[in-house]
Amino acid sequence: MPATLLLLPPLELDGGKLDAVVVPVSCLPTDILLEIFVRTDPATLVRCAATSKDHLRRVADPAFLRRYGHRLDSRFVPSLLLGLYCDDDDSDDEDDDQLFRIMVAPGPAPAATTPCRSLGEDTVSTLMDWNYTPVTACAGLLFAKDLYTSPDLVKGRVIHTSRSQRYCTCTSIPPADISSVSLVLLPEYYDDDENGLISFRLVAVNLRTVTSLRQSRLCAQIFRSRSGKWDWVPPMDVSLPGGSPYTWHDTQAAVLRTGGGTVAYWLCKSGISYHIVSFHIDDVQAGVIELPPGCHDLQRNSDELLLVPSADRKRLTLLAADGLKINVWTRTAANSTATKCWERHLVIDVLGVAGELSQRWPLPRQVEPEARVKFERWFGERSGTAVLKIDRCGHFALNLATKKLQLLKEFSETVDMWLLCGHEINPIPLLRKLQLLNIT
Amino acid sequence: MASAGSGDEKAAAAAMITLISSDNEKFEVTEATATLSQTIRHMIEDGCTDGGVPLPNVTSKILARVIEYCKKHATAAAGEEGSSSSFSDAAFLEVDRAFLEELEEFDDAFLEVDRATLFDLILAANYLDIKGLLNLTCQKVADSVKGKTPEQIREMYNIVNDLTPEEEAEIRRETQWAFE
Repeated sequence: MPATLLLLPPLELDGGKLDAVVVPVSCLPTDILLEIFVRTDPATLVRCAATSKDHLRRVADPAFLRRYGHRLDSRFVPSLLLGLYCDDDDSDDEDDDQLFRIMVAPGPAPAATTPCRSLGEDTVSTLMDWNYTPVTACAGLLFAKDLYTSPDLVKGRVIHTSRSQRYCTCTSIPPADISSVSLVLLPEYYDDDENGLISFRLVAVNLRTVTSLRQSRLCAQIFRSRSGKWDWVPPMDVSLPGGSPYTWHDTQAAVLRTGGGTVAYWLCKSGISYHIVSFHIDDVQAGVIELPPGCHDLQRNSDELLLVPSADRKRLTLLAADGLKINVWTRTAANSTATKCWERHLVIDVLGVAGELSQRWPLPRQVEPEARVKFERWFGERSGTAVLKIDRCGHFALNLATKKLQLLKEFSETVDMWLLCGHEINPIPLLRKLQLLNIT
Repeated sequence: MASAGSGDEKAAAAAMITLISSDNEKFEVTEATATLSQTIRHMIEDGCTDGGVPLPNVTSKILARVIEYCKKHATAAAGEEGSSSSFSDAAFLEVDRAFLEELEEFDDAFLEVDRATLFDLILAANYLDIKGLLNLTCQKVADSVKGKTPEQIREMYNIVNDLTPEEEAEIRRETQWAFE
């Protein structure tokens, strides 16, 4: 008999109305429940683990967490972004100049702003007094720079934010001998010790012009948490096309982790065009990559471009704003430097994204036709979040996985907002802590 | 659609396999459709499919739906092979993309079932070892768990709580970020 198509009436599956009707259907075997658990977001996974002793033990199991970690590494998980650190630039009142953490709420609700000072119990605010300011963060680690003792040189502390409050810890970073323009924080995954310290590398990079050679030189120092000291890297000459030295380079690096090692990329502007400078951190090699067609033009402002890693952190993606549209380019070939190795696979229309939300439209006022998208120099590589500013509208968080736009702060004539960096967590060490609970 | 048509023609010429549900209903499917199941693929390789493949864990209602899924996705797999080997022009890729979109729509519609059916589909996909279907159905359930409390999750899956209130409080304390 040939198979017949059974047409079932579409039923609303949960749809948020679960509280009203909970119909337990059948028991699924634990192995299948784990297949479901491994596909949930980290917060939901914790809740699943908290349903019974057996589930807690199985979720905290190293093999399960390794599998879960691989899933997290291959995609953007929006809920890993807990907040953003911002400086509120209110020039009228000196005392009001303070550090804010914007809580990024899921869904269309406007973000809530909380002064760091009032977060008495918050891991970060208790550790961070007013001498320190967040500079860069990556998957559960936050580097805060000491502002007063060495304004030019890198000195500060790395705070382990992926800890419950009891275990909050930090590592002091001695001053580096380099006046750094960009800092790259590299946690070494799955390698935290019993005290809850994730080992990491902090790379301080400075691209400077060697005037006599009409060339650029990349200087770097690497701090390793294991040795507790800075190491010099031999300076690398970078030849930009046309022999033109650079005039500007980005503070924000996009970091890729491929089989070949860890490579950081910066947008860079020379006298004739925009380029990308790469730094292979393990092999200590620098190189130059061309931007996609139409993106290298110096007519563009640098804040219309943002270099980010792809969801699996294996390919380079360029966000190029064009008015209120964002072109998303991804590099198709890793080893070639040519322009044609880029593929534009998506255009995000900021108005369109917001329009889908109809009455939940996050833009607080009519957008002027000539309004432009500008990127803040930060990208949440775990959550896939870019922060953008739209002229006379405000600041927004755009998630690349969900294509959702969220209002962070409405435009104001008097108070501007300075984004310092985001606060993303790495849930794996947190989940691993479940193992240590005295529950059997 | 070119890819779908050629896939069907190929399929028509291929060998047929009979699947027998737990309530003894017989389903005749092509080998290409059946081998989306690793379990059946191994049976075919071992040459033990003569006289039909009995599937005592799967009811006819569920098997019919599983076959519906496999038919659609077997066609998709055939289409992909065709496009990568002999066609590479932009027009064909366009057709390919449209087909992938259609497949996504099919998957969405396929999942519009009640929870009991969804659970049965998961069990069948697991038993028959159909990776795509297992992923699709588990992801659907995982999405529906999002934002639920442990108590709600227990109710959804009939999970017996053997944690003491003190232990539950301890877990919450350690994982506060997950409950905010």
